[in-house]
Amino acid sequence: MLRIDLASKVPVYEQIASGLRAELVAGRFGPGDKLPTVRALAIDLGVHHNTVAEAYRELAGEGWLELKRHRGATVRERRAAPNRSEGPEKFTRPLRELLAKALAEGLSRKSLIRELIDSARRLEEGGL
Amino acid sequence: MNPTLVVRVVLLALGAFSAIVHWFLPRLTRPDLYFAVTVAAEFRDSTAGRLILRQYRRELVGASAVTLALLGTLVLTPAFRIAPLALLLQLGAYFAVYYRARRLVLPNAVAPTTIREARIGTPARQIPGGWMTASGPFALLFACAGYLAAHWQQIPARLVLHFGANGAPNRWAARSIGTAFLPIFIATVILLALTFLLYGMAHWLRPIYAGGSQGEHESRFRRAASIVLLVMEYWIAALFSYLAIRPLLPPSLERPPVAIAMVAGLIAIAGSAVLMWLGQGGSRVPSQQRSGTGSAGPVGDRTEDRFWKLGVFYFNRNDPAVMVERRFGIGYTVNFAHPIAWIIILLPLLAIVTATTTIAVRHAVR
Repeated sequence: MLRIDLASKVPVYEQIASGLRAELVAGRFGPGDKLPTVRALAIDLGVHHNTVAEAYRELAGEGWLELKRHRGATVRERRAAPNRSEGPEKFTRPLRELLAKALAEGLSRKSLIRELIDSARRLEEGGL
Repeated sequence: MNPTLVVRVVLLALGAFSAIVHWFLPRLTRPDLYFAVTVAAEFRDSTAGRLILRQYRRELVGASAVTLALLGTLVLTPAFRIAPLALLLQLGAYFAVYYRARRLVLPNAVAPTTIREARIGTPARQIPGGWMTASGPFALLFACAGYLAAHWQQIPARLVLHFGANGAPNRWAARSIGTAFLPIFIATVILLALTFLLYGMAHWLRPIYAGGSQGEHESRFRRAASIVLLVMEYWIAALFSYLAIRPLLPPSLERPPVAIAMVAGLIAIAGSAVLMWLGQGGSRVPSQQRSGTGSAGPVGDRTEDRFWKLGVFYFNRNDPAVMVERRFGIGYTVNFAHPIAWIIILLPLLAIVTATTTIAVRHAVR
């Protein structure tokens, strides 16, 4: 199930891409599986089709999807992440911001570490 | 059976059914939509909510008494041909009653949730029975057109263009391709518009809940509504095929077309009753089985109140959905900001009026 929040500060296309990426990492879709067409997903989510197309393009850029005109998006075989120019610092900053927010709201460091490890394990095992 | 008697009975049945439906309508919508306004789910059962409903029903009874009395009077007199006007008056009066109740609900409006959800990985929604079933009515018309062409020489020189309420023909036109095939043309245009709607219900409609018991109810309702529409399509194809080949039938097989057409009214009543029983979009799902929204605010139909003109007409340029659930009523309506919606509504009307008027003017005979 893909869920987005139109009131969130995170751009909608990023929310869509994140939701789909989580499904792909969890192995919900295998190579060759079709994703909904841009138009169908835009109608279901009530957003402009350019927003969905942008999310699909982002996932295609990461090597998850193959986009063909009039044929929708197909999941690709993605054995390893493509070479990226940025290092892990791309994720460090948002993670640090999220951690600061959680600590500021009173969550303990121990519970945060446990949650992080559990979430990663669930993703690897195919759950979310 | 006397054809005018059938017409009178069906008109009265439509009036009575409309009154019954409007009595229950405020309770047939989603719990967080009350008189087409997004409210907290518990509002309808609050004291204020019940008071509004009581006033609505009191005024509805008054409007029904007046309009049904008028309908009854017209139906029982020779002036029954104008009785459909009483049905229109009845709908107008009901709209006024609904609108008064809506104005009382508006101060209690709340913003709906901003959460949207979609199910990924499920097969694309289809028309029940697929395209084979949907093309059946067109095949029937095609076969009928072939039959007419094959028996062209046997078609009388003068064809009936219009029937009176008593089932007797009252306007004729000279035989021509346009005149003979007019019923086939009209039926094809109507069926194309209905097939667009059928397709739209499968592909242009946003599910409110992507899963859970409400999602399942929603899918069941959508399927039932599609089947009702399909039955109507088959009925229309059969009726117009009959009208087209009527001049070739022996007198013993002739039936008054008005009475046959009125059966469509009974199909509409039966279809509406089934949909009411199922409940719009899972409105009959018990409250304890309803899933949460994941954010503050009721779910409603995931559209904002400001896009609903008078609570009845949906007009939202930023919504890619061509069709949406009705907020006060059973079934679906179109997004009037979408050009396809106007094509579905206006083009068939324009085509039918143009074709009928042209033939009536050019080929009319006494």
